[in-house]
Amino acid sequence: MTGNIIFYISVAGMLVGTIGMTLSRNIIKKILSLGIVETSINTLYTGISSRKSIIPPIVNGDFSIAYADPVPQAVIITGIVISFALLCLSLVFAIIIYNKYHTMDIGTIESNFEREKE
Amino acid sequence: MKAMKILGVIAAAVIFLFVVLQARIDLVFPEGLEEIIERTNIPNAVTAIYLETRLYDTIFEVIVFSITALGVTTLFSSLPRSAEGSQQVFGSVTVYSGGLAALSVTLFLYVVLEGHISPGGGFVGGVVLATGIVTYGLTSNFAKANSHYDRFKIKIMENASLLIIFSLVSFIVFFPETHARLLASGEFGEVLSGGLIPVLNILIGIKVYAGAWKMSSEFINRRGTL
Repeated sequence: MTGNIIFYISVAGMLVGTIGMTLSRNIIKKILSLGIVETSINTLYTGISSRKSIIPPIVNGDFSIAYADPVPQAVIITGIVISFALLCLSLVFAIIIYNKYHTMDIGTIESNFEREKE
Repeated sequence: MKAMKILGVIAAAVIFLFVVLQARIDLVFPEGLEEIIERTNIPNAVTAIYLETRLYDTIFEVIVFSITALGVTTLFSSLPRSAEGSQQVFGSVTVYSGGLAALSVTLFLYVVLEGHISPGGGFVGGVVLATGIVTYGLTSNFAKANSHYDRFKIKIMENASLLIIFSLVSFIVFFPETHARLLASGEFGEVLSGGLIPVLNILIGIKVYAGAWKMSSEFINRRGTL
C-alpha cells in the first residue's frame, strides 16, 4: 500500500520536473527541476523496496519477519551519488556561462552566442 | 505559442499516465535475503549488497565521484576567486559550529565503523562529516577551515584512500574464496567482523568527505558577489 502511494507520487514528481526542465527559461530553474526529477526517482526506488514491508533489512538472524527489499536501496545509493555529481557539474557550467554572458536566460545567451559567431 | 505549450504539457502528462497504468507494481522480486546474509555473515543487507554482491557498481560509483571532484576543480581553476576578507563572522555561531563539527566527527566514526551492523555506511558517513565541516567553514572562518584541509593533508589522504579502495576491491574480485573465508571467520553482529567490508566503509567515508569538501570549498571560493 505504502509502496503504491509513493510510486504514484514519485511519477507525478518526475512529470513536474520534466515539464519544468523543458519549459523554464532560466538555467538555475532547469537545474532545480533536474534535482526534482532525481529526488523523485530516488523516492520511486524507495517505494519499490517498501512494497512488501517497511521494516529495514537489518537482520538479527530471524528470517520469518518480512523485511523491505534491500536490492533497490543498494542500487539507489549509486544513483544518489551520481545525481549529486551531475548537479555539481551542471552548477559549475552554469557559473562559467554566467561569468561569460552575465545572464541566466537561455534566450539572451543564445542570441549573444549567435552574434559572437557572426 | 502558448497553446502549443499547453498541448505539450497535456501530451507529456498522457504519456506519463500511460506508463503508470502499464507498470506492474505487484511484480514480485526473487527472494535472496537469506542467501545474501548467509554469504556475507553481516546483519545489514544493504551494505552486504553494495560492498559484496554488487561490488562493481560501487567501484564505478567511486570512480564517477573522483572524476567529478577532478572536473569541478579543473573547470573552476580558470575562474577568479572571491576576496577572502568579505566573510562576516559572528561570535556565538562560531562556538556552536565548532561544537557541531566535533559532533559530526563523532557521528562519522559511529556511522562508518558500525555501517555493516546498523544503518549507515561509507557514503552516508562521508556526507555527514562533510556537512559538519562545511557548516563550520561557512559560519566561523573559511580560511581557518581551509588551513585544516591543508594541515591534515586531506588531498593525499583522498588519493591514498582511492588507491587502497582499488587494491582491496581487486583483491575481493580476484580472490573471492579468500574473502569468503575472511567473512565466515567473523562473529555475526560484532564490529570486528565482515572481512574487508568495514575497511572499505572507512576508506569510502574518507574519500566521499574529501571529495565533497573539496567541491564545496571550490564553490564557496567562487561565490561571486555574495
